[in-house]
Amino acid sequence: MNIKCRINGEEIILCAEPQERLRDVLYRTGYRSVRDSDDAEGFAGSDTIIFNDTLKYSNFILAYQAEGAEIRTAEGLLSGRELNYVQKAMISAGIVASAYNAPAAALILTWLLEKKPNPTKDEIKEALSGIFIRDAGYEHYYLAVKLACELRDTGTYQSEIAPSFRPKLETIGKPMDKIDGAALVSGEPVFVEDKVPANAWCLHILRSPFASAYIKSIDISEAEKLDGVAAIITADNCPDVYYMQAGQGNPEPSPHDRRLFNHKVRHVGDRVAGIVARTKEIADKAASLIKVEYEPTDAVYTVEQAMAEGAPLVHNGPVQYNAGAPADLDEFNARAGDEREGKVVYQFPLGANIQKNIAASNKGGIGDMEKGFAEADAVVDCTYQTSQIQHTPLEPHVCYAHIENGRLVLNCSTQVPYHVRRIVSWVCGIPENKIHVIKERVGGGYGAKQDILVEEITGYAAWLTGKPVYYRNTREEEFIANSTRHPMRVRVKMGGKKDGTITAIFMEVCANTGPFGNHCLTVPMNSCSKTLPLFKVDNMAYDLKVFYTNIPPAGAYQGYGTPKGNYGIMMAMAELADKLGIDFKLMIEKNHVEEGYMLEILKGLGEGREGNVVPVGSCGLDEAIEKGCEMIEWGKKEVSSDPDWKIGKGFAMIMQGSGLPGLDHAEAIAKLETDGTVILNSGGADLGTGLDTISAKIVAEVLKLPMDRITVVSGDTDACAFDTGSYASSGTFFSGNASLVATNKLKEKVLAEAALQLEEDVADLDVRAPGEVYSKKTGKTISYYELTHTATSGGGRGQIIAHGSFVTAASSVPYGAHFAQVAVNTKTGEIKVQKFYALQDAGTPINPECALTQIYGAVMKSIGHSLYEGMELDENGKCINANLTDYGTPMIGEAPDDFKSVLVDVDDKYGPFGAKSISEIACNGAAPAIGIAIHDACGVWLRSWPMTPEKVLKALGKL
Amino acid sequence: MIYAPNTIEEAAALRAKLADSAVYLAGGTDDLRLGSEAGGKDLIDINALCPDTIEEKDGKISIGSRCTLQALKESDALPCFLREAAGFCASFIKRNSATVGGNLALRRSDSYLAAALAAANASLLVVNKDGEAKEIPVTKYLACDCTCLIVKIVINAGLNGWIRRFGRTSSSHATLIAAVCGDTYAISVSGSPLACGSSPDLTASICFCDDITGSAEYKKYLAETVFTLRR
Repeated sequence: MNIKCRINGEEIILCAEPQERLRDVLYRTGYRSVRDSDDAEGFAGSDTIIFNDTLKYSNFILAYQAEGAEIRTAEGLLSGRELNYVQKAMISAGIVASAYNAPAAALILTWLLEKKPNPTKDEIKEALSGIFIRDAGYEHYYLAVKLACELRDTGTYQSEIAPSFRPKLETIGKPMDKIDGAALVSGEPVFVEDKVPANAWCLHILRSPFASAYIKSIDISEAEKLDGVAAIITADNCPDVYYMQAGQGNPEPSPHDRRLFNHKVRHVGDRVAGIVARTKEIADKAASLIKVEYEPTDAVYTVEQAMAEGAPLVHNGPVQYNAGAPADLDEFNARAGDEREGKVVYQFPLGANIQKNIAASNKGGIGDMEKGFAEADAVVDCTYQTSQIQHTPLEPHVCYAHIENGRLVLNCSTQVPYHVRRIVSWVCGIPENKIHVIKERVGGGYGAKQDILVEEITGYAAWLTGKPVYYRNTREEEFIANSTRHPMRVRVKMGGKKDGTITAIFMEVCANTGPFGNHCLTVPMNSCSKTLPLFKVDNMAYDLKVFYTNIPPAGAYQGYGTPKGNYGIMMAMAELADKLGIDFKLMIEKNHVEEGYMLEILKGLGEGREGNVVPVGSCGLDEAIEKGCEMIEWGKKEVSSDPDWKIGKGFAMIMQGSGLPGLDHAEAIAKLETDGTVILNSGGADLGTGLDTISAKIVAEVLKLPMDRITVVSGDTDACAFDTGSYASSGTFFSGNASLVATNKLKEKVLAEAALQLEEDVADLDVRAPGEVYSKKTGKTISYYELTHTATSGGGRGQIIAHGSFVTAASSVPYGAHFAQVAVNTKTGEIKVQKFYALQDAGTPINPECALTQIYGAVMKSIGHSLYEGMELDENGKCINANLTDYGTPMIGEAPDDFKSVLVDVDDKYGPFGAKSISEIACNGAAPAIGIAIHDACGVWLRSWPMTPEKVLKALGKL
Repeated sequence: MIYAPNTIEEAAALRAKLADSAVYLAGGTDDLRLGSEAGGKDLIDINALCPDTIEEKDGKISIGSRCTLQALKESDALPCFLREAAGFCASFIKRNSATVGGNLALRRSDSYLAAALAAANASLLVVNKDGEAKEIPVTKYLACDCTCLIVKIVINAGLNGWIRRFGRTSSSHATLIAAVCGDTYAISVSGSPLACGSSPDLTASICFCDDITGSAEYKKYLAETVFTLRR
């Protein structure tokens, strides 16, 4: 039917089926800002439009209902290419991060300001109550509204956006708009889904209803006969290639324990068949015609079940080692089970024993534990449990693959374009030069898109059929068939003296990796390697084991294992302080590391190899603790006017890394273009954090060029040079440093060329704004334009190009302290986070406003994990809350009443212009800070997250 | 298939006739949402039929069934506890579409409004399959499975009450909602039918169950405790 309506002031006729959702019709018609994050759950708000002057979710409006309607989308906020004042303010405030629903947020705030020109905080909160922001948190939305009002009323900003750092530098450390902000907030077609042509074929995955079962038979004959089915891929016909989905350096510290499809399904939601069909409807029909005969087997869901004597085995095939095979491997493999188990290939030993469900293990330590505990006046020995957490990026996992000029081209939403290329190459059996991976803008990653969860099957489907193939996870598939945060059991034994000196720390970590071993060693290693080095304690040891189970898969998640390890170790320290009767702050001060302390503990914590023993570098821990304690008035007891509500305070030290020294690798290519502008090709993958802006700022700073004369092309495997990707907090430190190396080299070449053209000595030359070389000796100048024009005109020496490669053994560790004040209702168990202060040493924050919003976003995630979120499985391993509502996703209503992020000023020796990483570390503090505050409020220790009202009541003995 | 009946009576008759295969469509926030029980069913569009206004007359307040939760929340004519209940649908954008009638017609145990309206002794003006209009207590409507179309919700003006919600987050489904107005107490508990009576001790009439929102033991504790909280 034809539907006549007005959209953004224009008379439009929409062609649609009456029962189509208006969201789908609008998107298809070209209103790309109207996105969908929740499959019409009515939760995330990416589908928000203004419908007859009212904000509505367009998924809840049928096409026919739009007849005669007045509709506004974010496209209508623009005047030509000019953003409106709200969009500009949002970019300036640093909230246009991964930005999948930033256009919807801009529309909501524009509507709000039209109705209420000077809204209160409560009115802003209400307007944003229906939109889910996972990346930047909500706090700077209030700032954005304030800035928008100032811009509207005075034409300029009056308020400080963020603090500035490094006064001698022009761009570094200064709040400046993110270079991709305009494209993102305006709703430009910058995401994978926007690159999919109408003729793309659909890839649909038929998934297992069983947590563990052999596939006895699978009959695809009837499904294959359907018109419009190009291929059905199963365990019977897929490549016999074992791989893993973790995006890690090659060779990976994860076992190759899967094929595209396996003869044994290992979790509810595991792949059974992949159907390539002309439409989704045909794919659905084909799926219904596939006859699968399963042979269910017993399953295990917890580490306790997995480690039990005689437990069902998740993998029981033969094991191979590409290096370091144990002497008894043949004997081990003689005990392997059914051939449908497949095999497990380790690149090198990880301490595994799959016949005990152990995917990896490690142990080590320093000092004498027995002596350490013997010296203690008190010892605590407690176990902390964490739940299975989903990343919930606004943009689900998605991939578009097609064949072009004999090559496989993949448009991806990924943190690791080069790992995608490598793994697709393995699976498809084609060399890397035949594969082109283009990282589009990433609508939320948080580690989920460090794993190659959909790209290999989509790429193979396109390569097999020759069809353009599009795949997109449903929101349910995001929960059941994706990576999640490993559930962990962290036991901490800690001894201390009456004066607060810690004498020994032992950590025992049991991690649940689910059916596959993605990051199975690295994630739990981080629970020790990013916590124990906070302590200057002579006796420390760890013992970690990772178990295969039949829960939905686990993998990388922002912070890796650190949030869980830190929850355990900080809670244990607070419990020890309580037992010793001393102030927690005193105990922290007495035991935390400071600059120069040699970290012997790191020797064994090297993620599958020997770690580097290094001294503590730049460290803002002291300042973070002191300032935070002042802010929250540590030691002052707050009392509620309602006696049912008890108030308590807590805090936790935090640390992380800045990439993986000795493993990570980044490259960049800087080119002086023929008009004197610069294009920087960075292998780094900006996933919304502002990495491209960091690279642009580095070029601007070094070459003294205005930002608008610099373009960054990144994450394109054809255009750029290798980079291991954006994970483990490597972006700024590794990719940023590669950009710095490339730009410094470009500058050297520019000066060398200028010396020849000006006939001057290179030592007398330097660059200056707005992009020229000048002689300090003679005063002669030459613009970059003249310089490059001559270099590329006939008789010149050619375009000036520089390549930068960055690897290092140095480590730049960010530190910080997070503080919480909570109120606990001792009658109902309810917990309110009244105050949260996040103080972090990020070295030089290159984009300070984005640094702050990354902290807010990560803390909100962490508050979510600590108090609300958790996947629940039934007795058959099926996730029963695989949607955003039931899962417990925190919205603006869960944000602390008083929420502050503070950047502690520390200049680092190794990071680009002194920068360190910023966002991952911010996931590490909330759980222990809140847990300790709950104890301070009502005297109970909650040793499992999420820390729910029900658990409070149980701990108080009321249940 | 979408039906567009011309009258309320026609809609109610159609709904009864298509009892298992069709549902009423008003705001769409449930019929069109992910995982809705209405998925795949025909829709009877009542948007042009039922009132969406709030009117006070002769000591009574009539709330049109198509009145949105946001309109309810903003109405100065309504008692605070009922407005607060409308706000239990945490999303402002969803409240702009979700209707009062829709929320009741779903008969969800975690209904935003059921406890408040039951405590307020609300009655509903409904039209049955034969086109007959009648007024029934909200508790009676919620306890049955009739396909009557709700036209209006009627409460006394000038009510004072109190309401409390417990849930994992502001946006998740409620574990328990308890309301009191005068001598009437009502509790909605996830997974259980609405309980309502003249005593705060309603636990005996509730069969508590474990679900995603909490254990039966926890819910029972809350039900026992909620009316002892400070108001």
